[in-house]
Amino acid sequence: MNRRHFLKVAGVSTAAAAAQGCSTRRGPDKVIAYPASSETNKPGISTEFATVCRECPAGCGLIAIARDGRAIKVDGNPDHPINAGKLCLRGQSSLQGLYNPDRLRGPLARDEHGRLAPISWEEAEKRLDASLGSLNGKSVAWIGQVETGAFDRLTDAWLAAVAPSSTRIRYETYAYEPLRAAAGAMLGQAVIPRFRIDEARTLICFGADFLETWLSNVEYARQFGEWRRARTEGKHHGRYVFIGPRLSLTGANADEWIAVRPGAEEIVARALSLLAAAKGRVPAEAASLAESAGVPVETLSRLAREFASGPSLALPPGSAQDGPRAVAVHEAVLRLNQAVGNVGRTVLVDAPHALSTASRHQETMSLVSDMREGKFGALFVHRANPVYALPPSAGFAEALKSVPEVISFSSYPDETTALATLVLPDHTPLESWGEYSPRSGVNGLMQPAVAPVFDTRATGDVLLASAARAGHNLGAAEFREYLRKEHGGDDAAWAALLQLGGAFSEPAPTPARAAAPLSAPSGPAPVPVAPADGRLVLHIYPSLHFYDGRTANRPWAQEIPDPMAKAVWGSWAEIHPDAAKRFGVQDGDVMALETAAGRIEAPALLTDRVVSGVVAIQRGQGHTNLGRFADGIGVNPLALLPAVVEPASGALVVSGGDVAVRKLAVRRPPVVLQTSMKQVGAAIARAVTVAQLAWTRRKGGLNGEGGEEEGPLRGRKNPSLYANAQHPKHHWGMAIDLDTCLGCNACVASCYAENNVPVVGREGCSRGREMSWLRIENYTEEGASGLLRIQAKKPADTGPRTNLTRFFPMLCQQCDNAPCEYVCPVDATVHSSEGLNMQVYNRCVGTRYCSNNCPYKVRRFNFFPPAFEPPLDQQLNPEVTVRSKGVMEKCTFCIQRIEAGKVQAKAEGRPVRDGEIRTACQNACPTDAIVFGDLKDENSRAAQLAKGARGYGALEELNTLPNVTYLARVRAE
Amino acid sequence: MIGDVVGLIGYFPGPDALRNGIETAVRSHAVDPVAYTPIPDASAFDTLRPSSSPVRWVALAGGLFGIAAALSMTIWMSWDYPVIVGGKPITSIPPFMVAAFELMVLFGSIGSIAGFLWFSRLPDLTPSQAYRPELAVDQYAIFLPLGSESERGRVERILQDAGATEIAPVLRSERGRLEVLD
Amino acid sequence: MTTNGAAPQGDVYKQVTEDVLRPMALRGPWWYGGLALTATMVLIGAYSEFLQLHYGMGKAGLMHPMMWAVYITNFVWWIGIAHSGTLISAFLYLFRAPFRAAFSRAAEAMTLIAITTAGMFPLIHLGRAWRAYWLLPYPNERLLWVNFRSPLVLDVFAVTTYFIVSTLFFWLGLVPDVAVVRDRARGWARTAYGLAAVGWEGRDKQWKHYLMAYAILAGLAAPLVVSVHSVVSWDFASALVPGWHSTISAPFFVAGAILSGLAMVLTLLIPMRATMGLKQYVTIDRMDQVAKLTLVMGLVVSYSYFSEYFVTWYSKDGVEITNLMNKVNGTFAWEFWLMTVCNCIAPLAFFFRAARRNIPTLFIVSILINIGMWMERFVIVAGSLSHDYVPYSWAPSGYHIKPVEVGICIGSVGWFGFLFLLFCRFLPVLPIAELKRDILLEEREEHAVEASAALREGHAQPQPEVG
Repeated sequence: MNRRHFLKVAGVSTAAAAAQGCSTRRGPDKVIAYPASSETNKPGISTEFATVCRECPAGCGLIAIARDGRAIKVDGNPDHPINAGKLCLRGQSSLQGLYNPDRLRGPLARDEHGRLAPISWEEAEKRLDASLGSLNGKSVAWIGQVETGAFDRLTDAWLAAVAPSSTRIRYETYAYEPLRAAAGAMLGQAVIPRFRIDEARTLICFGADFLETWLSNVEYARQFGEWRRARTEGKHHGRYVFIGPRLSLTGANADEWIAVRPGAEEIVARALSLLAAAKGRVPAEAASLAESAGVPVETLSRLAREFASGPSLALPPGSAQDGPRAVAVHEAVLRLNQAVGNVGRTVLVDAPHALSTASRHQETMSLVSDMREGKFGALFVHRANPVYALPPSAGFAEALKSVPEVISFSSYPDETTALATLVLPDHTPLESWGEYSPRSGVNGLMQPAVAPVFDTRATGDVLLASAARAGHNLGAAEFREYLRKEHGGDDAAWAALLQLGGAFSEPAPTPARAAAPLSAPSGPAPVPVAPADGRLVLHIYPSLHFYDGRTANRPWAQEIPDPMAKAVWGSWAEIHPDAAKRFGVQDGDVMALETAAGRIEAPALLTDRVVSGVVAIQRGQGHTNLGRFADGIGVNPLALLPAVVEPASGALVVSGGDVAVRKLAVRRPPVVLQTSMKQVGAAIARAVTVAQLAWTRRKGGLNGEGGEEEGPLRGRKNPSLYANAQHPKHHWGMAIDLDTCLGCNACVASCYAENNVPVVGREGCSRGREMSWLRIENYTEEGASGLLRIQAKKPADTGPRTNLTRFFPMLCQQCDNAPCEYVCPVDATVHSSEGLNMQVYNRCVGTRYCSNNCPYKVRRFNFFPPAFEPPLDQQLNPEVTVRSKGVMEKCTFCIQRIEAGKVQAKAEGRPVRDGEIRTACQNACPTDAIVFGDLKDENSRAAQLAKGARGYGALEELNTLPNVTYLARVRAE
Repeated sequence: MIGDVVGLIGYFPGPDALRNGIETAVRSHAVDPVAYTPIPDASAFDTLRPSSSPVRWVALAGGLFGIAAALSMTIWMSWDYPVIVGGKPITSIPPFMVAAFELMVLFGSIGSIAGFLWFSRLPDLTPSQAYRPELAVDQYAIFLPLGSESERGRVERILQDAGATEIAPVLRSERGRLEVLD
Repeated sequence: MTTNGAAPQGDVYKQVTEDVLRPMALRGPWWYGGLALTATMVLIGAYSEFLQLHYGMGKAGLMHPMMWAVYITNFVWWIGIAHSGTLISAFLYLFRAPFRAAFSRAAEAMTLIAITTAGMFPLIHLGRAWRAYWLLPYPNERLLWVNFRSPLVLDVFAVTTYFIVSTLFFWLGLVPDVAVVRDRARGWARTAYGLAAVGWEGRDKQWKHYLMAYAILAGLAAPLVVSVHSVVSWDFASALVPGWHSTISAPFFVAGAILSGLAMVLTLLIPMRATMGLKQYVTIDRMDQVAKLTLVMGLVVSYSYFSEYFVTWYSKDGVEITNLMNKVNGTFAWEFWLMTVCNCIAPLAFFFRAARRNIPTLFIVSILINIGMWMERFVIVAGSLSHDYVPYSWAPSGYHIKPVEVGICIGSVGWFGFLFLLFCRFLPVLPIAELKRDILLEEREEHAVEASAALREGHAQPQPEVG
């Protein structure tokens, strides 16, 4: 993000918002009225609006880039303390939420045939008033996501005004009840604490997927990136140990995975706290605990020693592991932190997370029973989809039948809305005014980036209007005004707030608490869950791409491969090869999983990234009513869950139950885009150990050995008959740090958005025709040269494992000796004087020879004309050509951004500044693993990193002279 | 009527006879003899026309032209719109040589064909007066043009000596070409 | 004086002409039937190509990383077949091989037709076939030329040259024979053949230049044949792909081309000699000789396979080795082994005289080799691509061929057959003049032998010049 540009443009964005966002009464037909083109709205000039991402409760700051009245890209807001300019895949996909072809076009109501039929807003308001008028004493229920600030208060005010009595559920799929309960017991405040990964050295995670969905994934990914970078720079020698039954993306980034059976997390936590307290000795109890957990006690005592020395952090289990003893586990983990005095240092209760206010699952269930009893005359659903997100056994859908009026404000036709009697579609967040404060001290302001795409209305406006019609003045006629009033101040201050994206302040530092004496754990130690034979323990985990399923109807979320399985467009059941053998299941065989609650069928995906007693299924697929991209794709594992509530915290029990597994005669292999997870012949993704790295530093520092320009990992310089390419002005290049790459796919999504990369769907992907310019390869082990056959060695089960995964972002390497170039008969791909390998779409005749000759296989061919279903096409970036049928395409290093940067510099009569041009992938990366820059400038960050001790070029032995330098991953051992 | 006789044609029973006939005819100083045969009998032709065919020089010229054309085309075009391709120099001789070879062969062949047509005065779609279809199947003949009526006896004798089994006058007719003119 | 020998001699030569021209009068149901069948096949191919143009290359089974497969395989296969023709006539002509005449005409025709067939595939396989002319260096408003470093452009040069030169060679060989046809034809046919014969009369002067031109063409065509398939092989050899990037490619491809060409000659001549009554010219001895040649080429090809695999193993290069192993017992195993059996094992049958002289055996083996050579190209093209440097992008399975590709293959075979049938009907299928010359030379040889024998016996009289 170019700061100056940002300030210049968004500074006046209130006016723009007035011109664009607030004209909700304008019909959906015109995107923008050109005559009324305001100063923020010049044709061909993009305007950046600071707002807030509402795809999940993390509440990251957004910069929405609008151009000619269309939102073409979202990036993180650099000023927002939560994400500091980074954005995850879900956030990127908010554009496809805005322009989703399945969005509701306008209000709907049940007609006499019981179908939802379009009506006018006038009618809709009448229906609303009618349903509120016909309550005759009955109560009103409101189910909505966690809100803060203006809308939160407005909702309460409105409910108080229009309804005699009301129940309000702040519904969140992941409400972290056990964490809050445990915090209440251990830290004195039943809130969700703040964790400081970057302040810790030794890091133990008991399963929380803090790089995916847990609390605030971008924030924690940033911190984790800092942690790794610090270690690589030699600032600490901490290790990150992951403990759990399944190796999630978060676990894959660990130095060591202690694989345990479900339920053993608590045992390990207890053992660790005992060992930590025992200072080196091994108490008998700890030994027996380790024994029952199936983990060598040496491993644990070593870990405990590291953990006890200096600042450390133990993160609790994730919502996937909420079992019958969820609170006990969380207590055990917090106790472990207390034992070494992390509370106040890396575990902070100074600024509780907004999710602390979320209703507990218990409350939702009691609401359900109240609904059954017919307590409610009307039920309002706002940005929540309980019918899908709750287990069917919870009976929410049935309960809805006994509520006379179900009014949904959803922008999409989701499963809950399908059962509504009246639908008053809200704007999507990018069209809305609002605010969200993920934690005290951080209050992000939302302003519309574009005029409403369809005939929708801000729910705030609807509420205010209905209150007004009922004769109540809630203080404003429109929600924008309401919001404005809440904040007060003069217009200048307001504009400043809006352009900054909100009001931000760091919470006051709280004194670190001393290491508390080890308190006694509650109750006896549990035994890990062991499935009966013919059964496996069910492990339902949240999805990086779909969260709880809300983003499943977005093509990018479906088409970008899952970071671990590398599968797309579907569900799969991960089981361990040993278990597979037991059930006679081959990779791709469909398995029937059955419990008392229900039955699902999913293809098996054999992997040793789960322990053998477990079958793991991802949440978020198997929609019946979300839209064309989600419906009928995959299965919803919640169908297997009995609606059991964990008493101590009131959470839904997700883990611990077991399922009957049966192999079916059908084969439906999931579409997996990565063919081999082993590197076999090549050594593409490389790694060095901390020790090796230190040694290299001693030898030659960051400038390699003996004054040589490049690091020791570099292959020898290949002799060449010809002089290497000359780059008179610039030499663009990239340095990608494999050590801080978390494999989170944010860059991939950003690339899809920036470069108009088409989506080909399940069929296309299954035939290897995905168009992604950038992919994250996921390798499980070192490549060994000269291998004839891969010896299938016995897959590991429980116990400690190291050297887990290497993520390798593969994109066009922009080779100086590009093999793709010289084979093109028509010069459709040529080298620029700035070191770019350029693809000339309109010259390409489609011989596809370049793709054959590309050793990195990063070129993509348009087998069919690209499809962007309206209004998805409104998101297309006008700076980038949409490629036609029959031409080749590939990563361009975001050449449009490079050119824009050069133009900017020229206009200001100065040379291009290092770091001023940022590629889309670089912008999104939560850990700054990707650095783009001018290699010709010795001091550019990219050039410096490229010369570093860990630098090497992928397949550089082929003498392709790639302009992308990879920095080898760093391993702890 | 006599003046219409443009020459005499003598028929020979077989290729060997024809060959001997040609030798004799040459020895007895026949003027502009023309042999007709369906069988390529190199030895016979050589006795008739000792000088070897100039076609090969045309072919050589064609080949040289091909090389020159190819090299100049590839090099000039590469420089006319120079682009950096795979880090290779603009004048990449090795691949250009391939084009040079191919065009050398191409124009060499065209040259030899052109030479053949030119030196044997083809294409020429009007048949000569002495020609008869059988001459392309199983008849062998020598045609000797007559300058004047007075030569007829001598010419006839030459053909008899050469062993012609049948001798016929070739009359000037409307269609057809006088052999000696070619 | 050999008047006595004249009459029978005349008869022999007349006989040759009659025999060779007879098929041109034939109008058997086999001919019309064949014509109809092949025409239908062409239509199927045309429809498939229409589908592909209309909907996009996605209609074919092509995928990342196997961006080339069936079409390029067909291209190389047909080019390979195109090789025997000019090769047989040119080389055998230069070596004065006695059995050339039996095959040269049919082989040359096969060459021409095969090139036209092969030439279609580079166009068919283009993502934007309607832009194919961009591969030609023509002056255009973009001021753009072509990239002469690209093997594909060199292909354009090589194949075009090969087509033109083969056409000239074919035509030149036809001239004396077409003259005969001209003299017998009437009406438009006479005009057409007359044009083709450019007024040939078999005069000594014409013959002299003719022979020189023919010799030169043969001399130029021979190296051309070698160069063309070398250039085709460089399409692969000059790439980085493991399994392609190998210096042996050129000779290896040429050998393969000759093998497939010879096989196709057998495949075509066996039915021809049966249906056209040419048995006394295309004799079993001639077949025997071609079979021997086939055997030799089969051994050469087998050796190339061996040396390639040996070098791969010897290189200790992990990528190369995994690539090869993927063919031997991976996703391309059955194609690989089919190829090995057809190209390395089947020709060995020709070690046995009985097999070489048994028509059914000859035919079956020739068919097997045709299949084997197609598989070889397929394994090289798709098989190598399926498994290169980046494990992420390895093809998960073998290549799944799609209907349009099958249709287009059928179409190409139909196209080839259609044109070949026309050739059998409208042109002399054997070189008449050359057959006659061979007979003449043989007789002279025998005569010379007799004469010397007589001299040795001592009571031979030198023959009088004139009777």
